[in-house]
Amino acid sequence: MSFTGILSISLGAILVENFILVQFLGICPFMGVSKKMDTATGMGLAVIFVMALASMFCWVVNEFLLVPLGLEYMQTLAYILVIASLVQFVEMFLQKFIPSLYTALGIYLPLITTNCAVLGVALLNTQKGYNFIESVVYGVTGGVGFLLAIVLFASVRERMEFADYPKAFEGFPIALISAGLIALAFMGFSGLKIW
Amino acid sequence: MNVKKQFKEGLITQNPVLVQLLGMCSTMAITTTLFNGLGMGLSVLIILTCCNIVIALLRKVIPSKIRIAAYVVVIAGFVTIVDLIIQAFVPALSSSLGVFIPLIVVNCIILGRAEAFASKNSVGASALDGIFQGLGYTVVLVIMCVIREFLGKGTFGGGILNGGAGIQIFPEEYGALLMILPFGGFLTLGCLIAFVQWALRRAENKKKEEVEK
Amino acid sequence: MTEAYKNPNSMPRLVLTLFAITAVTSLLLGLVNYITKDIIRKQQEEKEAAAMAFVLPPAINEETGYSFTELEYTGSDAIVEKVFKAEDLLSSQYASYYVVLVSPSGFGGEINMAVGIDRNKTVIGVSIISMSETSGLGSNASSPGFLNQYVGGSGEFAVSKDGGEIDALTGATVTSRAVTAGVNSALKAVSILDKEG
Repeated sequence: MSFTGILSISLGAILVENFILVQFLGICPFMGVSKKMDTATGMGLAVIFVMALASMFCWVVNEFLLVPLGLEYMQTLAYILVIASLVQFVEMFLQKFIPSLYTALGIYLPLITTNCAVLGVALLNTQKGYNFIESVVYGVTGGVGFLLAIVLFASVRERMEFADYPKAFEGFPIALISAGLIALAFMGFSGLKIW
Repeated sequence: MNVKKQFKEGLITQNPVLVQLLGMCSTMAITTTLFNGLGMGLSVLIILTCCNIVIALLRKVIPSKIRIAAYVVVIAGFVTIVDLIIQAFVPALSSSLGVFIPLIVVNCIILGRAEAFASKNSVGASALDGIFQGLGYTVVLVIMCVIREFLGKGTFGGGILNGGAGIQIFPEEYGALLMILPFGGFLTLGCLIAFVQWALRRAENKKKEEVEK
Repeated sequence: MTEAYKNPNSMPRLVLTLFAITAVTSLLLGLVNYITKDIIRKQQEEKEAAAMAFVLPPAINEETGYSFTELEYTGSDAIVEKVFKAEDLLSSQYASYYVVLVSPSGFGGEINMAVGIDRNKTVIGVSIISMSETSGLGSNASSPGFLNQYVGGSGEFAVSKDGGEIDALTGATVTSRAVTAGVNSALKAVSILDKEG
């Protein structure tokens, strides 16, 4: 795997094909936990962690279990089970061995099971035919893209408390529209390319 | 069982997208042509109804500790079945929705309804809940599609009418392509939710005034 | 065991219930897969055949059409899937073309497409078999207006943003680049074969 290949996957996952703002994956946690900067950062970090692990394990399950047995049609079921048990396992592991991290990230972990960015990254890895290293790189950088988007969005939302807007737009609608404006800014990256 | 109340809840007062704010990924991602919206909406409707029925049937058998895992397995099963059927019989839909069909597994509407409704109610009521919530979702998708497709490309019924091209209402070059892009998804959904909030609040105020009188 | 089973939170009960649900689901899936498998494959084959016929000029004898022979591809380009030689045996003036199946990576996974190339290494047709690009943007790649830009050209194509002659689809640079890369790979594959004779 060449360095430029990895660089172009990373750049793609963080900016050009940002999971939230371009591919619309993982909107629920993006909207749900972006009211405060620190919780947003926590969620972002947890997502990077789980997405990296999920890419790894799902690749192994697909390559050594599903493909040899001709069970590719069970992909969705297998991946979601892998992700659900992974999240459960990470939660137990953190609780036991790194309690400080558990108190910081713990509450976000169960939410991640139903984060479509995580299942999305596993499915996209298979669809794009990435090898092990490429899958992990895509998983980690996809998570970094998520962190970037949610941190940007949280800082916008914190300022929004003092903004004046029509009452009907209170809460979610105005958040959606500001997310749209960030998405618009991210479109500027769409021409970016590394050879 | 209160059919009328459930119908009203699914479509308006407890609409899964506009009021409960569930399943927003697919709502914004695929609503670019009427064909996509209808296809996605109906797929979710079928999956949601089947899952609700099965989970309501099993609600006394599944221990609460592993309920989420059990629900996820049931949901993933139905999603894969529907995915395979779509691939076999409506390949055009399968290629235009792409990864968003398997992603119905993590569509929070389905897990949300399983947890909030089907795990506590009878099979009949859960089936109805699935149908009405699914209808509510489909209606929102269709509204989003019609708005985005019209403003973005000047067409109506893309993918279905007029041999797939849709009926051209005004020339395509005058369309705001922005509406088809992610930004258009955020904007349209934001405005729709704002409208519903405004309408619901108005209805509430009216009720209050009547009570005060 | 029976004692343990009565307690809904005992470990054996939890494991057994979850296992039973997973087993039933998997069985059902297997059944549905068994039914739909052949239909899906047939549909893909039909689509592939249709795309391969589409990128060539109409055959003289419509009923027999072209006969395709698969050639061994020796190059290292991973985008190239299969190379076919298409011959119209019934035509009085012997005609043969190449059809190359390529699958470049687009925005949402692989784009499967067929490229028809004549003996002068000129593109005579491009058709998309399947793709999962964003609908309304990248999915427009299947429009004739876009694909016809390649017809009649040879050598190496590039999107206008990269200094070439292909007008990219609005809002779908990644897809346009992928399709262009696919056509380029197909042309290269044919020129390798031609050198070998």
